[in-house]
Amino acid sequence: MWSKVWVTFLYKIPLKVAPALVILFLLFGFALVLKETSLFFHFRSTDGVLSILRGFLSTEWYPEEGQYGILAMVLGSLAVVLLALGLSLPLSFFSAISIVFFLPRTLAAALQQLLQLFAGIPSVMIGLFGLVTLIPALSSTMPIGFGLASAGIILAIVLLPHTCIQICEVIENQCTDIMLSGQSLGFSRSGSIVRLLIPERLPILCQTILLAASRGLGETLAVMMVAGNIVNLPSGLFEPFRTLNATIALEMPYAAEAHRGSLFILGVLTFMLVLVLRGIARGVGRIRFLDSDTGDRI
Amino acid sequence: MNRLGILSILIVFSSYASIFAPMFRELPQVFSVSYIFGSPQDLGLAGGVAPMLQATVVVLSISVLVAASLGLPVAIVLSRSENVWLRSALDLLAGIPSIVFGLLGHAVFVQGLGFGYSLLSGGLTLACMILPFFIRVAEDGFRLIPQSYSPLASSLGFTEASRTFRIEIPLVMPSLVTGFILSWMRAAAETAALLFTAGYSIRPVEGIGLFGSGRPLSVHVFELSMNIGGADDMAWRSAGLLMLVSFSFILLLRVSSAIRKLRQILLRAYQKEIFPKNIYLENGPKKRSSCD
Repeated sequence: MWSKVWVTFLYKIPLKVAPALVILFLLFGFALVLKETSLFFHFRSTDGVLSILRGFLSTEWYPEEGQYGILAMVLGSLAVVLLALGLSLPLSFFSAISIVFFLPRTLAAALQQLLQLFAGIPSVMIGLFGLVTLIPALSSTMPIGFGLASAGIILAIVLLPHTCIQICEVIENQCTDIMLSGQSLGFSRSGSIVRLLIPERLPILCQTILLAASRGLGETLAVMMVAGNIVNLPSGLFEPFRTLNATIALEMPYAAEAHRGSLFILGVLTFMLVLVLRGIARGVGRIRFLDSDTGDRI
Repeated sequence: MNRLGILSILIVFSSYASIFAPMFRELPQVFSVSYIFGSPQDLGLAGGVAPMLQATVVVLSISVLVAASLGLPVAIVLSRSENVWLRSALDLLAGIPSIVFGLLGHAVFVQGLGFGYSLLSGGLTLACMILPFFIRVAEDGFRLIPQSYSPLASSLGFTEASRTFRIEIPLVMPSLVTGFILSWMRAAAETAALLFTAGYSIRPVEGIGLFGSGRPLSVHVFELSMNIGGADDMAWRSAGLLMLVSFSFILLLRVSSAIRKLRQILLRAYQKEIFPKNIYLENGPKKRSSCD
Protein backbone atom coordinates (compact mmCIF):
# COMPACT_ATOMS: atom_id res chain seq x y z
CA MET A 1 0.00 0.00 0.00
CA TRP A 2 2.82 2.44 0.77
CA SER A 3 4.40 1.71 -2.62
CA LYS A 4 1.06 2.53 -4.21
CA VAL A 5 1.15 5.91 -2.54
CA TRP A 6 4.73 6.50 -3.62
CA VAL A 7 4.10 5.53 -7.22
CA THR A 8 1.00 7.64 -7.41
CA PHE A 9 2.93 10.66 -6.25
CA LEU A 10 5.76 9.86 -8.62
CA TYR A 11 3.15 10.00 -11.31
CA LYS A 12 0.71 12.70 -10.34
CA ILE A 13 3.22 15.33 -9.26
CA PRO A 14 5.46 15.29 -12.36
CA LEU A 15 2.40 15.33 -14.57
CA LYS A 16 1.27 18.58 -12.99
CA VAL A 17 4.66 20.10 -12.30
CA ALA A 18 6.40 19.61 -15.64
CA PRO A 19 4.00 21.64 -17.81
CA ALA A 20 3.89 24.29 -15.14
CA LEU A 21 7.69 24.46 -15.16
CA VAL A 22 7.77 24.92 -18.92
CA ILE A 23 5.27 27.76 -18.84
CA LEU A 24 6.94 29.31 -15.83
CA PHE A 25 10.33 29.20 -17.52
CA LEU A 26 8.89 31.02 -20.50
CA LEU A 27 7.26 33.73 -18.41
CA PHE A 28 10.26 34.07 -16.12
CA GLY A 29 12.60 34.22 -19.10
CA PHE A 30 10.65 36.90 -20.87
CA ALA A 31 10.34 38.93 -17.71
CA LEU A 32 14.11 38.80 -17.15
CA VAL A 33 14.87 39.66 -20.77
CA LEU A 34 12.55 42.63 -20.55
CA LYS A 35 14.29 43.65 -17.37
CA GLU A 36 17.60 43.58 -19.22
CA THR A 37 16.20 45.64 -22.05
CA SER A 38 15.04 48.23 -19.56
CA LEU A 39 18.73 48.81 -18.82
CA PHE A 40 18.85 50.57 -22.13
CA PHE A 41 16.23 53.09 -21.19
CA HIS A 42 17.73 53.48 -17.76
CA PHE A 43 21.15 54.54 -18.88
CA ARG A 44 20.23 56.60 -21.85
CA SER A 45 20.21 60.34 -21.58
CA THR A 46 16.72 61.68 -21.10
CA ASP A 47 15.49 61.62 -24.65
CA GLY A 48 11.91 61.41 -25.68
CA VAL A 49 10.48 58.17 -27.00
CA LEU A 50 10.13 59.55 -30.53
CA SER A 51 13.75 60.59 -30.72
CA ILE A 52 14.82 57.14 -29.50
CA LEU A 53 12.74 55.55 -32.23
CA ARG A 54 14.17 57.88 -34.84
CA GLY A 55 17.61 57.04 -33.51
CA PHE A 56 16.88 53.37 -34.09
CA LEU A 57 15.97 54.00 -37.66
CA SER A 58 19.36 55.37 -38.63
CA THR A 59 22.20 53.39 -40.07
CA GLU A 60 24.86 54.54 -37.63
CA TRP A 61 25.62 51.90 -35.04
CA TYR A 62 28.17 53.35 -32.63
CA PRO A 63 26.99 52.25 -29.19
CA GLU A 64 29.90 53.81 -27.35
CA GLU A 65 28.86 57.20 -28.64
CA GLY A 66 25.20 56.64 -28.03
CA GLN A 67 24.18 55.98 -31.62
CA TYR A 68 21.95 52.95 -31.94
CA GLY A 69 20.91 52.87 -35.54
CA ILE A 70 19.88 49.37 -36.48
CA LEU A 71 18.67 49.95 -40.02
CA ALA A 72 21.87 48.69 -41.64
CA MET A 73 21.78 45.47 -39.68
CA VAL A 74 18.09 44.79 -40.22
CA LEU A 75 18.54 45.28 -43.95
CA GLY A 76 21.61 43.07 -43.82
CA SER A 77 19.69 40.25 -42.14
CA LEU A 78 16.81 40.52 -44.58
CA ALA A 79 19.09 40.72 -47.59
CA VAL A 80 21.11 37.64 -46.66
CA VAL A 81 17.95 35.63 -45.96
CA LEU A 82 16.44 36.64 -49.30
CA LEU A 83 19.60 35.69 -51.14
CA ALA A 84 19.88 32.38 -49.32
CA LEU A 85 16.26 31.54 -50.06
CA GLY A 86 16.72 32.44 -53.69
CA LEU A 87 19.64 30.03 -53.88
CA SER A 88 18.34 27.19 -51.77
CA LEU A 89 14.65 27.08 -52.71
CA PRO A 90 14.96 26.10 -56.36
CA LEU A 91 17.63 23.55 -55.50
CA SER A 92 15.65 21.93 -52.70
CA PHE A 93 12.40 22.07 -54.66
CA PHE A 94 13.72 20.30 -57.72
CA SER A 95 15.72 17.85 -55.64
CA ALA A 96 12.60 17.01 -53.67
CA ILE A 97 10.56 16.40 -56.80
CA SER A 98 13.24 14.15 -58.21
CA ILE A 99 13.61 12.24 -54.96
CA VAL A 100 9.91 11.71 -54.43
CA PHE A 101 8.78 10.94 -57.96
CA PHE A 102 11.53 10.11 -60.38
CA LEU A 103 14.47 8.43 -58.77
CA PRO A 104 14.61 4.69 -58.00
CA ARG A 105 13.25 3.98 -54.54
CA THR A 106 16.46 2.69 -52.98
CA LEU A 107 18.43 5.68 -54.21
CA ALA A 108 15.68 8.00 -53.01
CA ALA A 109 15.65 6.45 -49.55
CA ALA A 110 19.44 6.65 -49.35
CA LEU A 111 19.37 10.31 -50.40
CA GLN A 112 16.75 11.11 -47.80
CA GLN A 113 18.85 9.47 -45.11
CA LEU A 114 21.86 11.46 -46.28
CA LEU A 115 19.81 14.64 -46.14
CA GLN A 116 18.83 13.86 -42.56
CA LEU A 117 22.51 13.42 -41.86
CA PHE A 118 23.31 16.79 -43.43
CA ALA A 119 20.57 18.45 -41.43
CA GLY A 120 22.39 17.41 -38.29
CA ILE A 121 25.67 19.12 -39.18
CA PRO A 122 26.59 21.93 -36.80
CA SER A 123 26.36 25.26 -38.53
CA VAL A 124 29.82 26.15 -37.24
CA MET A 125 31.20 23.49 -39.54
CA ILE A 126 29.50 25.07 -42.50
CA GLY A 127 30.79 28.47 -41.41
CA LEU A 128 34.25 26.95 -41.09
CA PHE A 129 33.96 25.62 -44.61
CA GLY A 130 32.99 29.09 -45.76
CA LEU A 131 35.89 30.68 -43.94
CA VAL A 132 38.50 28.22 -45.08
CA THR A 133 37.37 27.17 -48.54
CA LEU A 134 34.80 29.54 -49.95
CA ILE A 135 36.36 32.88 -49.08
CA PRO A 136 39.83 32.18 -50.44
CA ALA A 137 38.16 30.84 -53.58
CA LEU A 138 36.14 34.01 -53.94
CA SER A 139 39.04 36.26 -52.98
CA SER A 140 41.06 35.02 -55.90
CA THR A 141 38.51 36.43 -58.31
CA MET A 142 36.84 39.27 -56.41
CA PRO A 143 38.58 41.94 -54.33
CA ILE A 144 37.17 40.76 -51.00
CA GLY A 145 35.71 37.34 -50.34
CA PHE A 146 33.53 38.40 -47.42
CA GLY A 147 30.17 39.84 -48.22
CA LEU A 148 26.59 39.17 -49.16
CA ALA A 149 27.42 36.60 -51.83
CA SER A 150 29.38 34.24 -49.63
CA ALA A 151 27.02 34.77 -46.70
CA GLY A 152 24.09 33.97 -48.96
CA ILE A 153 25.78 30.83 -50.23
CA ILE A 154 26.65 29.67 -46.72
CA LEU A 155 23.17 30.35 -45.37
CA ALA A 156 21.71 28.52 -48.37
CA ILE A 157 23.90 25.50 -47.54
CA VAL A 158 22.71 25.65 -43.94
CA LEU A 159 19.04 25.86 -44.89
CA LEU A 160 19.09 23.36 -47.75
CA PRO A 161 18.78 19.94 -46.07
CA HIS A 162 15.97 20.80 -43.70
CA THR A 163 14.05 22.64 -46.42
CA CYS A 164 14.50 19.77 -48.85
CA ILE A 165 13.24 17.26 -46.29
CA GLN A 166 10.23 19.44 -45.51
CA ILE A 167 9.35 19.83 -49.17
CA CYS A 168 9.69 16.08 -49.67
CA GLU A 169 7.23 15.50 -46.82
CA VAL A 170 4.84 18.14 -48.13
CA ILE A 171 4.86 16.70 -51.62
CA GLU A 172 4.54 13.04 -50.79
CA ASN A 173 1.88 13.52 -48.13
CA GLN A 174 -1.30 12.10 -49.66
CA CYS A 175 -0.15 12.57 -53.22
CA THR A 176 -1.47 9.26 -54.52
CA ASP A 177 -4.99 10.61 -55.09
CA ILE A 178 -3.80 13.48 -57.19
CA MET A 179 -1.24 11.46 -59.10
CA LEU A 180 -3.79 8.75 -59.87
CA SER A 181 -6.33 11.33 -61.01
CA GLY A 182 -3.74 12.88 -63.25
CA GLN A 183 -2.79 9.52 -64.66
CA SER A 184 -6.41 8.67 -65.35
CA LEU A 185 -6.91 11.99 -67.11
CA GLY A 186 -3.95 11.33 -69.35
CA PHE A 187 -1.40 13.65 -67.80
CA SER A 188 2.21 12.67 -67.97
CA ARG A 189 4.05 12.21 -64.70
CA SER A 190 5.69 15.61 -64.77
CA GLY A 191 2.49 17.11 -66.07
CA SER A 192 0.42 15.89 -63.17
CA ILE A 193 3.10 17.14 -60.78
CA VAL A 194 3.36 20.58 -62.31
CA ARG A 195 -0.27 21.19 -63.15
CA LEU A 196 -2.14 19.29 -60.47
CA LEU A 197 -0.01 18.65 -57.41
CA ILE A 198 1.95 21.86 -57.10
CA PRO A 199 -1.03 24.22 -57.48
CA GLU A 200 -2.86 22.26 -54.85
CA ARG A 201 0.09 22.31 -52.49
CA LEU A 202 0.98 25.94 -53.13
CA PRO A 203 -0.16 27.30 -49.74
CA ILE A 204 1.75 24.66 -47.81
CA LEU A 205 4.81 25.23 -49.98
CA CYS A 206 4.59 28.93 -49.20
CA GLN A 207 4.35 28.00 -45.54
CA THR A 208 7.52 25.94 -45.87
CA ILE A 209 9.28 28.84 -47.58
CA LEU A 210 8.29 31.26 -44.83
CA LEU A 211 9.38 28.82 -42.12
CA ALA A 212 12.72 28.40 -43.89
CA ALA A 213 13.03 32.19 -43.95
CA SER A 214 12.37 32.32 -40.21
CA ARG A 215 15.06 29.75 -39.62
CA GLY A 216 17.42 31.71 -41.82
CA LEU A 217 16.76 34.81 -39.75
CA GLY A 218 17.65 32.89 -36.63
CA GLU A 219 20.92 31.50 -37.95
CA THR A 220 23.84 33.36 -36.47
CA LEU A 221 27.25 31.83 -36.52
CA ALA A 222 27.62 30.50 -40.04
CA VAL A 223 26.65 33.86 -41.52
CA MET A 224 28.80 35.73 -39.03
CA MET A 225 31.91 33.87 -40.03
CA VAL A 226 31.73 34.92 -43.66
CA ALA A 227 29.97 38.26 -43.62
CA GLY A 228 32.77 40.63 -42.74
CA ASN A 229 30.91 42.22 -39.82
CA ILE A 230 31.30 45.86 -40.65
CA VAL A 231 28.15 47.84 -39.98
CA ASN A 232 27.31 49.09 -43.44
CA LEU A 233 24.28 49.06 -45.59
CA PRO A 234 24.65 45.97 -47.74
CA SER A 235 25.52 47.85 -50.88
CA GLY A 236 27.14 45.32 -53.14
CA LEU A 237 27.38 41.58 -53.34
CA PHE A 238 30.98 41.64 -52.15
CA GLU A 239 30.85 44.35 -49.52
CA PRO A 240 31.18 43.33 -45.87
CA PHE A 241 28.02 43.80 -43.83
CA ARG A 242 26.56 42.68 -40.55
CA THR A 243 23.39 40.92 -39.46
CA LEU A 244 21.39 41.54 -36.29
CA ASN A 245 22.38 38.26 -34.71
CA ALA A 246 26.05 38.84 -35.47
CA THR A 247 25.91 42.09 -33.55
CA ILE A 248 24.49 40.32 -30.52
CA ALA A 249 27.08 37.57 -30.69
CA LEU A 250 30.04 39.85 -31.25
CA GLU A 251 29.32 42.65 -28.83
CA MET A 252 27.79 40.79 -25.93
CA PRO A 253 31.11 39.89 -24.26
CA TYR A 254 32.09 43.48 -23.69
CA ALA A 255 28.84 45.40 -23.70
CA ALA A 256 28.33 47.99 -20.96
CA GLU A 257 25.02 48.96 -19.43
CA ALA A 258 23.06 50.81 -22.10
CA HIS A 259 24.85 48.87 -24.83
CA ARG A 260 23.84 45.63 -23.14
CA GLY A 261 20.25 46.73 -22.98
CA SER A 262 20.35 47.60 -26.66
CA LEU A 263 21.67 44.12 -27.48
CA PHE A 264 18.77 42.58 -25.61
CA ILE A 265 16.45 44.86 -27.54
CA LEU A 266 18.05 43.52 -30.73
CA GLY A 267 17.34 40.01 -29.51
CA VAL A 268 13.71 40.85 -28.86
CA LEU A 269 13.52 42.45 -32.30
CA THR A 270 14.89 39.33 -33.98
CA PHE A 271 12.44 37.23 -32.04
CA MET A 272 9.57 39.47 -33.11
CA LEU A 273 10.60 39.18 -36.75
CA VAL A 274 10.74 35.39 -36.46
CA LEU A 275 7.36 35.32 -34.70
CA VAL A 276 5.76 37.49 -37.37
CA LEU A 277 7.13 35.26 -40.11
CA ARG A 278 5.92 32.13 -38.38
CA GLY A 279 2.49 33.66 -37.79
CA ILE A 280 2.22 34.58 -41.46
CA ALA A 281 3.37 31.08 -42.35
CA ARG A 282 0.68 29.53 -40.21
CA GLY A 283 -1.95 31.78 -41.76
CA VAL A 284 -0.79 31.03 -45.28
CA GLY A 285 -0.81 27.32 -44.56
CA ARG A 286 -4.49 27.49 -43.75
CA ILE A 287 -5.49 28.72 -47.20
CA ARG A 288 -7.45 26.18 -49.16
CA PHE A 289 -8.23 26.47 -52.80
CA LEU A 290 -11.02 23.98 -52.77
CA ASP A 291 -13.88 23.82 -50.32
CA SER A 292 -13.31 20.70 -48.26
CA ASP A 293 -16.93 19.48 -48.28
CA THR A 294 -18.16 20.11 -51.76
CA GLY A 295 -14.94 20.32 -53.74
CA ASP A 296 -15.89 23.66 -55.25
CA ARG A 297 -13.43 26.42 -55.92
CA ILE A 298 -13.43 28.92 -53.05
CA MET B 1 11.86 18.20 -64.89
CA ASN B 2 13.85 15.27 -63.75
CA ARG B 3 17.01 16.60 -65.34
CA LEU B 4 16.72 19.80 -63.28
CA GLY B 5 16.19 17.69 -60.23
CA ILE B 6 19.22 15.54 -60.83
CA LEU B 7 21.31 18.64 -61.49
CA SER B 8 20.21 20.21 -58.23
CA ILE B 9 20.81 17.00 -56.31
CA LEU B 10 24.32 16.87 -57.75
CA ILE B 11 24.96 20.49 -56.76
CA VAL B 12 23.67 19.92 -53.24
CA PHE B 13 25.58 16.75 -52.59
CA SER B 14 28.80 17.97 -54.11
CA SER B 15 28.74 21.06 -51.91
CA TYR B 16 28.19 18.90 -48.88
CA ALA B 17 30.94 16.56 -49.98
CA SER B 18 33.30 19.49 -50.14
CA ILE B 19 32.29 20.41 -46.62
CA PHE B 20 32.99 16.93 -45.36
CA ALA B 21 36.27 16.52 -47.25
CA PRO B 22 38.56 18.58 -44.95
CA MET B 23 36.95 16.94 -41.96
CA PHE B 24 37.69 13.47 -43.26
CA ARG B 25 41.21 14.53 -44.01
CA GLU B 26 41.74 15.41 -40.34
CA LEU B 27 39.74 12.50 -38.99
CA PRO B 28 42.68 10.03 -38.61
CA GLN B 29 44.40 12.49 -36.30
CA VAL B 30 41.29 12.77 -34.16
CA PHE B 31 41.67 9.18 -33.08
CA SER B 32 44.95 9.70 -31.25
CA VAL B 33 45.07 9.39 -27.47
CA SER B 34 47.05 12.59 -27.15
CA TYR B 35 44.26 14.47 -28.86
CA ILE B 36 41.34 13.06 -26.96
CA PHE B 37 42.98 13.04 -23.56
CA GLY B 38 45.55 15.80 -23.83
CA SER B 39 45.23 19.39 -22.80
CA PRO B 40 45.28 22.22 -25.28
CA GLN B 41 48.46 24.20 -25.73
CA ASP B 42 48.99 27.53 -27.43
CA LEU B 43 45.35 28.46 -26.92
CA GLY B 44 44.35 25.41 -28.89
CA LEU B 45 46.78 25.60 -31.78
CA ALA B 46 48.37 22.38 -30.61
CA GLY B 47 47.76 19.63 -28.11
CA GLY B 48 44.51 17.93 -27.25
CA VAL B 49 40.94 18.85 -26.49
CA ALA B 50 40.28 16.88 -23.32
CA PRO B 51 38.64 19.73 -21.33
CA MET B 52 36.49 20.63 -24.31
CA LEU B 53 35.42 17.05 -24.83
CA GLN B 54 34.53 16.70 -21.17
CA ALA B 55 32.64 19.97 -21.25
CA THR B 56 30.77 18.85 -24.35
CA VAL B 57 29.76 15.54 -22.82
CA VAL B 58 28.71 17.17 -19.56
CA VAL B 59 26.64 19.88 -21.24
CA LEU B 60 25.02 17.44 -23.66
CA SER B 61 24.19 14.96 -20.91
CA ILE B 62 22.64 17.62 -18.70
CA SER B 63 20.59 19.02 -21.54
CA VAL B 64 19.29 15.69 -22.86
CA LEU B 65 18.53 14.30 -19.40
CA VAL B 66 16.70 17.43 -18.27
CA ALA B 67 14.83 17.70 -21.56
CA ALA B 68 13.80 14.04 -21.43
CA SER B 69 12.68 14.15 -17.80
CA LEU B 70 10.73 17.36 -18.31
CA GLY B 71 9.52 16.38 -21.72
CA LEU B 72 8.13 12.96 -20.92
CA PRO B 73 5.39 14.15 -18.51
CA VAL B 74 4.56 17.03 -20.82
CA ALA B 75 4.22 14.64 -23.76
CA ILE B 76 1.94 12.39 -21.71
CA VAL B 77 -0.21 15.36 -20.72
CA LEU B 78 -0.38 16.66 -24.28
CA SER B 79 -1.24 13.30 -25.78
CA ARG B 80 -4.21 12.93 -23.47
CA SER B 81 -5.86 16.33 -23.60
CA GLU B 82 -5.15 19.31 -25.75
CA ASN B 83 -3.93 22.22 -23.62
CA VAL B 84 -3.86 25.56 -25.40
CA TRP B 85 -1.48 27.29 -22.99
CA LEU B 86 1.02 24.47 -23.09
CA ARG B 87 0.81 24.08 -26.83
CA SER B 88 1.36 27.75 -27.53
CA ALA B 89 4.18 27.90 -24.98
CA LEU B 90 5.92 25.03 -26.76
CA ASP B 91 5.36 26.59 -30.17
CA LEU B 92 6.85 29.81 -28.85
CA LEU B 93 9.85 27.98 -27.44
CA ALA B 94 10.36 26.13 -30.70
CA GLY B 95 10.37 29.36 -32.67
CA ILE B 96 12.98 31.26 -30.68
CA PRO B 97 16.19 31.67 -32.69
CA SER B 98 19.24 30.13 -31.11
CA ILE B 99 21.06 33.31 -30.23
CA VAL B 100 17.98 34.82 -28.66
CA PHE B 101 17.81 31.61 -26.68
CA GLY B 102 21.35 32.35 -25.59
CA LEU B 103 20.20 35.74 -24.33
CA LEU B 104 17.24 34.11 -22.60
CA GLY B 105 19.46 31.53 -20.97
CA HIS B 106 21.87 34.24 -19.93
CA ALA B 107 19.13 36.29 -18.35
CA VAL B 108 17.50 33.34 -16.60
CA PHE B 109 20.34 31.02 -15.63
CA VAL B 110 23.50 33.07 -15.59
CA GLN B 111 22.02 36.13 -13.94
CA GLY B 112 18.53 35.39 -12.70
CA LEU B 113 19.21 32.12 -10.90
CA GLY B 114 22.78 33.13 -10.24
CA PHE B 115 24.55 30.11 -11.74
CA GLY B 116 27.06 32.29 -13.51
CA TYR B 117 28.92 31.20 -16.62
CA SER B 118 28.80 27.50 -16.01
CA LEU B 119 28.24 24.16 -17.65
CA LEU B 120 25.00 23.98 -15.71
CA SER B 121 23.61 27.14 -17.30
CA GLY B 122 24.71 25.94 -20.71
CA GLY B 123 23.12 22.54 -20.18
CA LEU B 124 19.85 23.98 -18.91
CA THR B 125 19.64 26.47 -21.76
CA LEU B 126 20.20 23.70 -24.28
CA ALA B 127 17.62 21.58 -22.47
CA CYS B 128 14.98 24.24 -22.99
CA MET B 129 16.05 24.53 -26.58
CA ILE B 130 15.60 20.87 -27.43
CA LEU B 131 12.54 20.43 -25.22
CA PRO B 132 9.91 21.19 -27.90
CA PHE B 133 11.70 18.85 -30.26
CA PHE B 134 11.75 15.94 -27.83
CA ILE B 135 8.13 16.57 -26.85
CA ARG B 136 7.06 16.44 -30.48
CA VAL B 137 8.68 13.04 -31.01
CA ALA B 138 7.47 11.63 -27.69
CA GLU B 139 3.95 12.92 -28.20
CA ASP B 140 3.76 11.29 -31.62
CA GLY B 141 4.76 8.07 -29.94
CA PHE B 142 2.11 8.40 -27.27
CA ARG B 143 -0.59 9.23 -29.78
CA LEU B 144 0.08 5.94 -31.53
CA ILE B 145 -1.22 4.02 -28.53
CA PRO B 146 -4.82 2.95 -29.26
CA GLN B 147 -7.46 4.70 -27.22
CA SER B 148 -8.96 1.39 -26.24
CA TYR B 149 -5.98 0.57 -24.04
CA SER B 150 -7.17 2.94 -21.35
CA PRO B 151 -10.52 1.29 -20.52
CA LEU B 152 -8.92 -2.10 -21.13
CA ALA B 153 -6.30 -1.41 -18.51
CA SER B 154 -8.85 -0.14 -15.99
CA SER B 155 -10.97 -3.17 -16.54
CA LEU B 156 -7.96 -5.35 -15.80
CA GLY B 157 -7.35 -3.48 -12.56
CA PHE B 158 -4.52 -1.15 -13.55
CA THR B 159 -4.42 2.24 -11.95
CA GLU B 160 -3.63 5.19 -14.16
CA ALA B 161 -0.08 5.33 -12.87
CA SER B 162 0.45 1.62 -13.41
CA ARG B 163 -0.95 1.85 -16.89
CA THR B 164 1.45 4.65 -17.74
CA PHE B 165 4.52 3.06 -16.31
CA ARG B 166 3.95 -0.56 -17.21
CA ILE B 167 2.03 -0.42 -20.47
CA GLU B 168 2.42 2.90 -22.23
CA ILE B 169 6.06 3.67 -21.60
CA PRO B 170 7.38 0.29 -22.76
CA LEU B 171 5.22 0.66 -25.87
CA VAL B 172 6.57 4.13 -26.55
CA MET B 173 10.19 3.23 -25.81
CA PRO B 174 11.38 3.12 -29.47
CA SER B 175 10.01 6.62 -30.05
CA LEU B 176 11.63 7.81 -26.86
CA VAL B 177 14.97 6.38 -27.87
CA THR B 178 14.69 8.02 -31.26
CA GLY B 179 13.77 11.29 -29.58
CA PHE B 180 16.73 10.93 -27.26
CA ILE B 181 19.14 10.39 -30.11
CA LEU B 182 17.74 13.22 -32.22
CA SER B 183 17.85 15.58 -29.25
CA TRP B 184 21.45 14.59 -28.60
CA MET B 185 22.37 15.39 -32.19
CA ARG B 186 20.48 18.66 -32.16
CA ALA B 187 22.10 19.73 -28.89
CA ALA B 188 25.56 18.80 -30.13
CA ALA B 189 25.15 21.05 -33.14
CA GLU B 190 24.25 24.06 -31.03
CA THR B 191 26.77 26.83 -30.55
CA ALA B 192 25.14 30.23 -30.39
CA ALA B 193 23.08 29.46 -27.32
CA LEU B 194 26.18 28.32 -25.44
CA LEU B 195 28.29 31.38 -26.17
CA PHE B 196 26.85 33.46 -23.38
CA THR B 197 25.96 30.72 -20.97
CA ALA B 198 28.79 28.25 -20.73
CA GLY B 199 31.75 30.49 -21.09
CA TYR B 200 35.14 30.11 -22.70
CA SER B 201 37.42 28.59 -20.12
CA ILE B 202 39.65 25.71 -21.13
CA ARG B 203 40.56 24.41 -17.71
CA PRO B 204 39.81 20.74 -17.17
CA VAL B 205 36.38 19.93 -15.89
CA GLU B 206 37.58 18.02 -12.84
CA GLY B 207 39.05 21.19 -11.52
CA ILE B 208 35.94 23.26 -11.82
CA GLY B 209 32.93 21.03 -11.41
CA LEU B 210 29.43 21.66 -12.63
CA PHE B 211 29.31 25.32 -11.73
CA GLY B 212 32.51 26.25 -13.46
CA SER B 213 32.79 27.54 -16.95
CA GLY B 214 33.85 25.29 -19.76
CA ARG B 215 34.04 25.31 -23.49
CA PRO B 216 32.02 22.75 -25.41
CA LEU B 217 33.49 21.56 -28.69
CA SER B 218 31.19 23.60 -30.92
CA VAL B 219 32.27 26.82 -29.16
CA HIS B 220 35.87 25.63 -29.48
CA VAL B 221 35.53 25.23 -33.23
CA PHE B 222 34.09 28.72 -33.40
CA GLU B 223 36.91 30.18 -31.32
CA LEU B 224 39.59 28.45 -33.33
CA SER B 225 38.20 29.63 -36.61
CA MET B 226 37.29 33.19 -35.74
CA ASN B 227 39.50 34.45 -32.99
CA ILE B 228 42.76 32.55 -33.43
CA GLY B 229 44.64 32.79 -36.66
CA GLY B 230 45.99 29.84 -38.58
CA ALA B 231 44.18 27.20 -36.58
CA ASP B 232 42.10 25.81 -39.41
CA ASP B 233 43.40 22.26 -39.20
CA MET B 234 42.74 22.09 -35.49
CA ALA B 235 39.31 23.56 -36.13
CA TRP B 236 38.49 20.80 -38.62
CA ARG B 237 39.82 18.22 -36.19
CA SER B 238 37.59 19.51 -33.41
CA ALA B 239 34.69 19.60 -35.84
CA GLY B 240 35.39 15.96 -36.69
CA LEU B 241 35.39 15.04 -33.01
CA LEU B 242 32.17 16.97 -32.54
CA MET B 243 30.49 15.00 -35.31
CA LEU B 244 31.74 11.78 -33.75
CA VAL B 245 30.26 12.81 -30.40
CA SER B 246 26.99 13.77 -31.98
CA PHE B 247 26.74 10.47 -33.82
CA SER B 248 27.93 8.40 -30.89
CA PHE B 249 24.42 7.52 -29.79
CA ILE B 250 23.25 6.47 -33.20
CA LEU B 251 26.36 4.39 -33.63
CA LEU B 252 25.84 2.87 -30.18
CA LEU B 253 22.28 1.96 -31.06
CA ARG B 254 23.19 0.44 -34.39
CA VAL B 255 26.10 -1.48 -32.91
CA SER B 256 24.00 -2.82 -30.03
CA SER B 257 21.20 -3.97 -32.32
CA ALA B 258 23.74 -5.57 -34.62
CA ILE B 259 25.32 -7.37 -31.66
CA ARG B 260 21.91 -8.56 -30.53
CA LYS B 261 21.10 -9.94 -33.95
CA LEU B 262 24.47 -11.63 -34.14
CA ARG B 263 23.88 -13.26 -30.77
CA GLN B 264 20.52 -14.51 -31.90
CA ILE B 265 21.96 -16.02 -35.04
CA LEU B 266 24.79 -17.68 -33.15
CA LEU B 267 22.44 -19.04 -30.52
CA ARG B 268 20.12 -20.45 -33.12
CA ALA B 269 22.99 -22.08 -34.97
CA TYR B 270 24.30 -23.58 -31.75
CA GLN B 271 20.93 -24.97 -30.82
CA LYS B 272 20.36 -26.42 -34.24
CA GLU B 273 23.66 -28.19 -34.10
CA ILE B 274 23.18 -29.74 -30.67
CA PHE B 275 19.50 -30.56 -30.93
CA PRO B 276 18.83 -30.98 -34.60
CA LYS B 277 15.63 -32.91 -34.20
CA ASN B 278 14.21 -30.89 -31.32
CA ILE B 279 10.84 -29.95 -32.65
CA TYR B 280 10.12 -27.70 -29.70
CA LEU B 281 12.66 -25.32 -31.09
CA GLU B 282 11.88 -25.59 -34.75
CA ASN B 283 8.21 -26.22 -35.26
CA GLY B 284 6.67 -24.95 -32.09
CA PRO B 285 5.09 -27.06 -29.36
CA LYS B 286 4.59 -30.75 -30.11
CA LYS B 287 1.16 -31.79 -31.19
CA ARG B 288 -0.23 -33.70 -28.25
CA SER B 289 -3.29 -34.91 -30.00
CA SER B 290 -4.94 -34.69 -33.33
CA CYS B 291 -6.99 -31.70 -32.35
CA ASP B 292 -4.06 -29.35 -31.51
